Amino acid sequence: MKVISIHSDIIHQAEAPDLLSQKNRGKGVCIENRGLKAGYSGSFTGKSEAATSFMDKILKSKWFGKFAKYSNEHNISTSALVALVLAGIMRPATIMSLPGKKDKDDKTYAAGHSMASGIIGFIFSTALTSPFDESIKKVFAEDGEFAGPKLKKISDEIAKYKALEEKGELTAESLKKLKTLVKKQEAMKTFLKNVPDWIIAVPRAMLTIALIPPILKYVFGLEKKKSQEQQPQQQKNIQIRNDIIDKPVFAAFKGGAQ
Amino acid sequence: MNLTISPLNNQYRQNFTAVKPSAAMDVVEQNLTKPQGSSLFAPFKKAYDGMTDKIAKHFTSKIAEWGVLHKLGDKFKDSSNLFKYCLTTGAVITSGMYMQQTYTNKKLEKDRRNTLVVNQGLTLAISTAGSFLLDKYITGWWDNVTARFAGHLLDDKDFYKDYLSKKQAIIEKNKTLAKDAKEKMPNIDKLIRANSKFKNLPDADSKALMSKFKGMALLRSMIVFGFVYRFFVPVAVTKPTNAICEKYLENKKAKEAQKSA
Repeated sequence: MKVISIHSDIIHQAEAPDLLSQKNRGKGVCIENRGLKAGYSGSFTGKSEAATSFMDKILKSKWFGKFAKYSNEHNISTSALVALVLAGIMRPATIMSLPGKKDKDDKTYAAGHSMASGIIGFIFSTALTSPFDESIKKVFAEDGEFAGPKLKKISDEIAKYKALEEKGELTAESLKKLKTLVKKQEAMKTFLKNVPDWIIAVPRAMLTIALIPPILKYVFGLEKKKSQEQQPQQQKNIQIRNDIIDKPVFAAFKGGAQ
Repeated sequence: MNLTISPLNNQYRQNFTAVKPSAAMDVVEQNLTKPQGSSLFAPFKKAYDGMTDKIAKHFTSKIAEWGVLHKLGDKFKDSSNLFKYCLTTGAVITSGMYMQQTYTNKKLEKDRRNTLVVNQGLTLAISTAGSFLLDKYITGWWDNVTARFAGHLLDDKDFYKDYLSKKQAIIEKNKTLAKDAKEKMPNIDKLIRANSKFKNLPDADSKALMSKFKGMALLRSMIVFGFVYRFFVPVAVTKPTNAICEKYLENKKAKEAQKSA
């Protein structure tokens, strides 16, 4: 006789305590402290299997590999993408969920402002720096098609030392020189990839300031309330009312506990 | 004879058809990794390629020859913080512009202008220091994630476990050593290069793998600096510092009023 499958419910019914009984109430399904097997403790920590497998799923995926490569090749654009996620999703969500006396319209405006600045920053940074990043890749490519004499000299030296390394003839001194040259080349690449961000920082900020109101108005349908003009008027009204009440004519009509 | 034992109450089966997270991830992956060789975009790709060729030839290659860049390359070649310095410089330029705009804004009173500029400057300084600290704090955990990622890239199931065991061994060893004699944590870059599977990879594949690995390190700083500058400061710092500024200005005005009276 061959048993194909036995449903685990039968086994669990024998082992598991009555979780709804008065004695066990509040213990949930975590029964580890009673010396019994607990399949799920309800926690979602970094060590939990679910979190680990989810992280593995992300790290294994092809898109994440591509994203990591993109981060290395397009520093400014990826920074802007991170900023877009933070300023375009997380910040508005936090602003809207914050408790406080602040008017809901103000919160909506602040959230829209944050989203608009994230979107403008990402589009402007990506559009301006992506072609430049591609050109950096071409200038530092091994074929040396676009490299100038100084850069070619470094590339040739690196190639020479690497050839020696493959043959197994690289001395300690040559290895040190190879490492120095590779590191110098990497530092130069990092500067070239990031200096455009310094150059576009001011125009990007100015463009953001200029474009936020029309984006908020025509894309999100939001407009800033003219609260500064309204507030003094309201205060004036309150003052007038207080003045009237404080006048001696009204003293006889003042009620309340004496 | 085959016997199947079924659950006792199997008359009702729940028809739950929610998309599993893993299935959703598969859809994202399929969309993001679609082949890009569409003929529709070929002319645009060709034009873009031509444009980047021209930029490389007439602009980038000339900047790459610039003596200052070579000097900077020599000076910062050993710095592990170079990318963070670049991020900080960008933030300083942007904040500097806002500070300058505040300082020259004639609609504001002189006292308010000065206080706001000091407020913006202090916020920038403290948030930058916080970014560096946070980046340093999460480096250990991020290295573990990177090692796990490298293990997947190399298709080596033991890479991550070996990395953790090496790290644990160094932690144990360092407990007995003096502060100056403590050993450094294992360098993932070196471990990848020493891996037998990496050594057998074709040149193009090994370069692509190292590019992904370097991207991971940069991604950490991008997330940390982005989180501090674009989320934490606007949400949690700006309001309290503005309130402190307002209080300071009120006190100052009250003192001046007392003096004049």
